[in-house]
Amino acid sequence: MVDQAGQDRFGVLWQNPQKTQQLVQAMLSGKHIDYYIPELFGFLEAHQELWEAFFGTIGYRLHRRDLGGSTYYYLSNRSGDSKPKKLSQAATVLGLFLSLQYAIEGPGLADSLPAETVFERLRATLPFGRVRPIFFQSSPGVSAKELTEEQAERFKAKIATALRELASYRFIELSPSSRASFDVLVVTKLPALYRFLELARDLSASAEGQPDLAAIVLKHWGDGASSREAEEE
Amino acid sequence: MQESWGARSERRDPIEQLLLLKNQFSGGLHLKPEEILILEALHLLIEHEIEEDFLLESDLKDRILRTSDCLKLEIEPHQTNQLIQKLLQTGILRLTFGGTRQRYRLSRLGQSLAKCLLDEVDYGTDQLNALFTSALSGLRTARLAGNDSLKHYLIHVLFDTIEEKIESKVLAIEEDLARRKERVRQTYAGQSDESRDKAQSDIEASRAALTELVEAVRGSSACEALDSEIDEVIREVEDPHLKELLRRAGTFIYRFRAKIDLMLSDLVEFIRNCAAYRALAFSVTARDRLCRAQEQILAYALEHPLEMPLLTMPEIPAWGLPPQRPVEKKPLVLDSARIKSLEEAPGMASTFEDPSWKERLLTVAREQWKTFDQEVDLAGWLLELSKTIPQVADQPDLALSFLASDWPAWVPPVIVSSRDDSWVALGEEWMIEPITLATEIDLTECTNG
Repeated sequence: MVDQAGQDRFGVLWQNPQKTQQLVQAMLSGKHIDYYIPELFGFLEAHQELWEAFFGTIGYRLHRRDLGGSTYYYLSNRSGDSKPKKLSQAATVLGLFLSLQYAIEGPGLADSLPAETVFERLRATLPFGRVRPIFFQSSPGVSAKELTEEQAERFKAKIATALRELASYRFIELSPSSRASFDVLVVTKLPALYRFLELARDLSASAEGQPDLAAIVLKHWGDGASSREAEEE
Repeated sequence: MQESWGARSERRDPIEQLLLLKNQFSGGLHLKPEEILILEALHLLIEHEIEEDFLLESDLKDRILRTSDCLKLEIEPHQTNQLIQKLLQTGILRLTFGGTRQRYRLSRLGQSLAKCLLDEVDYGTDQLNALFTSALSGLRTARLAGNDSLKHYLIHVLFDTIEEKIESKVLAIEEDLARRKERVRQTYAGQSDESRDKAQSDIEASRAALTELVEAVRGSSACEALDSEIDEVIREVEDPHLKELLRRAGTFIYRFRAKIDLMLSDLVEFIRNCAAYRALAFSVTARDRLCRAQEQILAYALEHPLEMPLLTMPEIPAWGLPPQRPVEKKPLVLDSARIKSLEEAPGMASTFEDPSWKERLLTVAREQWKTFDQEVDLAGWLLELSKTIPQVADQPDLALSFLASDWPAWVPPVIVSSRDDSWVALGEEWMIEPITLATEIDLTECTNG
């Protein structure tokens, strides 16, 4: 990290140790950095090439995206040896669903949605029989095809868990707090939520008649296999 | 009902007024958007461009068509008569006669309606500046007249009238922005790129106007001066009630500034979101294609175990010595009965095996020793022996050890002595000091001789 003149190449990054520590810890924990945390975002923007080089030396690749018009940064593993952590299947489905809502309605849909609204839209759009194995896995006592009213509360709890997971990586923001009760919980879109549209952009740009979905998933998200399945093996 | 309406002697009965209104507009006021725009155009023409307060028919038609061209209302020349009749029927326009020619004037209703509608979308600072200037002037005058006068002015003029008008103005701007944003939302979810572009440009115009308003208010001498005046009076007066009223006035100005700042920042954020969405799906077709693709991906995710890859901070594996149960060590007890003496121990088995040439070496050496009649140089003898037994040259140290172990039993006995001479090489690795082997007979003869 020292150049030929003996100067620390990354010296400017250490001038504010506290901010550097916050940024490095946030990014290495998988968080996306956007302009809603202006101090860290500005720090990245101002020294993007240096940060890219720094993270590269410790085995990570810095990504800068502006899909959706708002810039955000995140890291991925550079080495193929590391097995990255994956979002749960429930959170992935919820992320895909939320990003679809914003793609359909555009700025017509407020950036903030009550969690109850998310639940109602999910319930109205996706057949419960198909989402049940994803959100409930092997929970007993849950009707296979239809969601009963008493089971709706359990479904809301599962959705809240998936929302908290998405919030922990700054795909969305939860207010008044991530632990608020479902009836007052509000979901706010953050720029990184548009990452869930990357597959669709590739698919929609494909000139083939029947594009291979599996190949597109593999290209962007690796094998996309459930880590739960790997553990079971 | 009269009590609840608090009728004063100088006011007319409200019911009578309502009855008059009921009969006045039996057909209602149904105005299309283009008719409202024509009304505004006529109002602006009369208010700002011409000296007269009336229009001749030809001028009226000309203004209608020019407005239509400018705003793309698509009003044809043959439709102007119909439009004029409509405005006359609604009571917005009225017909008068001046000399021999017909004249058209805006009725009082038309003027009021046009002015109010313009105020709804007027982000200009003139009205606000006028209100703040009026408030400042009134406050200074009341201040000079004394505390009672100042109290009266604050309660009945500033809070009752001026504050209400300013709030009404801000509310009108807020409502207009909300309508424009709603139009943008509807068009972005709609099917027309043209409508979307139009709505977007409308709201961009609003942002420009609102920005100008905010900048004007921030730099407005009247607003700043009013705020400073209030602060100054608060410091001077002793009356707590008056102080409270003045603080309320100061709070109102602060809230007003904060309100329009917030409106502008919300609008900027909204426009930014529109631009962000535009970058994602720049046309209706692109949006629909993207949404269909996302639905396919979502359906795929419901059928296959799909998980988005992330990143986590590498975890340093925890290491530590697991706690072990204490093991009780048994004391060492020596059992003398089980200890064997060294004598009973079996002999150490030698792992060295004599080479095959040893016996041959010793046999030859013994025979030759018997024939020697004089002392022998050990080095020379070993070299001679190596000619018949090559291993002696290869391992002279081993050969010498075999001989030295055997010759104590030779007859005649071997007497070993060293002499003062140079060392002799035995092969490439060994050298031997000058040693002489003699017998007792040799020594006896030497002594006797």
